[in-house]
Amino acid sequence: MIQFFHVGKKYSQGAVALTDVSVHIEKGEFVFLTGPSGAGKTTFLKMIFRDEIPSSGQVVVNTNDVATMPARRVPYLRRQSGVVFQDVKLLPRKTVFENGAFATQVIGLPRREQRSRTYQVLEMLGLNHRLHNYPEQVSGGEQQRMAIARALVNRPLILLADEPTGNLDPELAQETMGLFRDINSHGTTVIIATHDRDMIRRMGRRVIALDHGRLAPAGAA
Amino acid sequence: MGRLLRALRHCIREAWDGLWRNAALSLLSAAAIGISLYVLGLFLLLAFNLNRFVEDLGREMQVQVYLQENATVDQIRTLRAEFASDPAIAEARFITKTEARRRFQRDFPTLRDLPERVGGNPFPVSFELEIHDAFRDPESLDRIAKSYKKAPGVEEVRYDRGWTERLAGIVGLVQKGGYGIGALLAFAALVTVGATVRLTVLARREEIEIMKLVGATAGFIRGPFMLAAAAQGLAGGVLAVAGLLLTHRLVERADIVRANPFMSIVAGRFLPSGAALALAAVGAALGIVAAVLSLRRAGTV
Repeated sequence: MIQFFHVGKKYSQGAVALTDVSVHIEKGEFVFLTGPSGAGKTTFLKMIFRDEIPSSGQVVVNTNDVATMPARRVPYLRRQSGVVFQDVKLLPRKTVFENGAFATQVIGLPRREQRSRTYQVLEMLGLNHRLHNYPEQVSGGEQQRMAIARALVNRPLILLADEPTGNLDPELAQETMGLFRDINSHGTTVIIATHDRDMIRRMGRRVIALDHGRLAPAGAA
Repeated sequence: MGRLLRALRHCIREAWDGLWRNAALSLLSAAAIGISLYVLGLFLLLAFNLNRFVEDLGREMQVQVYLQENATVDQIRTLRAEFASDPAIAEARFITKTEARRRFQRDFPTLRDLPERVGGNPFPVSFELEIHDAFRDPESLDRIAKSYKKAPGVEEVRYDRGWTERLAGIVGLVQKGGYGIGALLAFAALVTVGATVRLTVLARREEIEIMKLVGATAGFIRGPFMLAAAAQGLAGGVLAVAGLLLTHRLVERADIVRANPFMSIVAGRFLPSGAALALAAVGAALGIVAAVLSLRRAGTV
């Protein structure tokens, strides 16, 4: 499903984000991506939905080579991935419901389908009593769940989450992880970047560890 | 089909929303396009009417053959026969002294008692030659003028070529000037509309970024901006045409136009409806071009 072949990433200012990373992630896997800040976790995730392009090597997502694929195909690649951003990226002028529905509008779903999917996913995430609130009116945990809702509403093949529990208290973090596990159990490939080692240990899933842009032995990270 | 309709509905809704969110700027853009097209339109209107006038002149172009005071009846008869056999001449009208004076008094009513003051009738007898269409070019007219200049009893042969040519030159100049100034103003309008689009893009930067990340196509993101710019352009174009119509009406009614034959030529008729529609369409096109350039520069998508 996702293959990294000797992937390197250098930014124009000379900073090196990734060096010679080769990884294979199967369909339906649940993977933790870990490492200290600046290890290259975010760059790794961004390559999967082509927000970044490798400077060397090759990233293949579902048979698409992200570096060489035509620009007009990129939106369709992105529709295969739901992304929960580290900074949540919610639209402050839209309500909880509108933020969720936004992603369905963008891909041109019929109106009825937009509404039913959005209600469904918001209900699953326990946000159905917040539908008409704006992001600033809900808690940090609820904002995080809004971001997850938006990532899931288009039923992606891959769910990518960048530090999704960073701002949550342990209880809520645990709950959110449970949610990711449920989503994964329905066949969605899940990749979560986090440096919460306790969480990783508790979940007992595959770990890809990065250190200074290189793959590190999982235990060392 | 459903998908296309939904995309169209999205475009219209977002464009409308964008226009209202920046109402003042949107109005400014429409006004900028409106003013540039209005000025262009004024020149076109002027050139259009002058052109029509020149064409009319060309159609009425006649060669005047003035006879000597002492031309004899025989000479006149010979001339008339020659005119009748000349393939270039459609008709030769004989103008008596009385007819010439009557025409002068009709064309220049303020000077109607001038002939009496200079003593009797100073106007010569003449032939007015109507020329066939095929012989209206400068060379043929020259040939006609030369061939009768030396004929017995002829004082002078005159035709209006020089004047009409000069006028045609002026029309060309007006047209070119109009295009030049129009282009300059259109460029200013492009910059204004472009700035509006860029500001709208900036105001919605976050939203656009998220749209891109969740898989919106370039068309889906750009469509509303292009539609909004086209609407501003079209509004500007329609305003320009309305302004031109109003100006034309006002000028038409002004006293100075009634009194002055040249002004009445200039006021003449309004632009043909095709040209007016084209002017509005040019407005919409300007808007779209501005949006495309601006979106490209803003690096959206």
